[in-house]
Amino acid sequence: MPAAAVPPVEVAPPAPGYVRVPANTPVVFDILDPISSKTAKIDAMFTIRTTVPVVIDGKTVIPAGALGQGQIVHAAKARAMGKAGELILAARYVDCGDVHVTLRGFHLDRAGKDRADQAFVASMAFTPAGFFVVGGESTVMAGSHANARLMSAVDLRVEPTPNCVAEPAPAAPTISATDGAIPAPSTANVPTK
Amino acid sequence: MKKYIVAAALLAVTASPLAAQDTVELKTKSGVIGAPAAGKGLIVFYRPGSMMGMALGCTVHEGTAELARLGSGKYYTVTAEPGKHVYNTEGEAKDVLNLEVEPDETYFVKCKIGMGVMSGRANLSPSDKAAFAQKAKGLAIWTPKK
Repeated sequence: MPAAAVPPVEVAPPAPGYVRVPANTPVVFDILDPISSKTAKIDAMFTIRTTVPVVIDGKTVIPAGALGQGQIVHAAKARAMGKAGELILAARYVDCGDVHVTLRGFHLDRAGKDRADQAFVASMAFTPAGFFVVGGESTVMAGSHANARLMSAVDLRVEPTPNCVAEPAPAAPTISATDGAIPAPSTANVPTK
Repeated sequence: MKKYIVAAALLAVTASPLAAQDTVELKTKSGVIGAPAAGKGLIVFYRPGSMMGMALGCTVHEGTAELARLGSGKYYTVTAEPGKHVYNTEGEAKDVLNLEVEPDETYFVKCKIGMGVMSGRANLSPSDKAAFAQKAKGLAIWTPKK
């Protein structure tokens, strides 16, 4: 006997004034706190700030400048006998108004190497869920670029809300959920010291 | 003291090296590393061939459960539920690696036998697809003894 047809699941449209941001929409941000394998504590949080607005259907739903948090998943100091320092980081969320936009798939951005006088890679690694640092006693500098993806779809207000207001910025690259690509991050927030 | 920054690539920039890397098939002596089961994570533990500690095994545990005993040039895959996992090796010194597994993602963990006082020390360290790909052709899967 053939199985009964499963009716398609109907998903309610977003409420008026809201836009649905799909799961896996990329979010590009800077890490604002320096993190070192020498001093990092597992589970400690660090601050992130979006650098590229997320735009859905031509409407900015997460502006550049929105703040959020990441978390240290793993940290180990370098040890004698050749054991290098290690860090694994995860992006947790970006706040947009009263909404925690939860994130997954953290990756640190190679653009951090722009600061050639400070940027060296003894060896490096990156994974879908975190960032692994291997080599010496390593530090992720404040201002390092990174990105992640939305963990699940979320409905966000189209109109600016407190803590989620677009920064007045010159024409910046934007992220569209429809094209799925992450533009090259801005280097405007790279510290110079 | 001079500080070092270690940086990695974006995952989704169309033309990035990592985007290209993601399409690379991971072929080992024993076959191809497949995708994780739906909703699960896949962890690839591997130990590159090396003269250092060649006679020693790198035994990977999660809690009290032994997952693999990797000889030189071996790898083993573990399917894991999403969430936090703590893996460790024991020997002259215990080494611990905390991992947070996300669904449908693959992780790479390298085991290396480092120098110890009396014998070698097994170290688990985070790795990545590119590093594994460089060694993959020389790696064979570890099979548990029955």
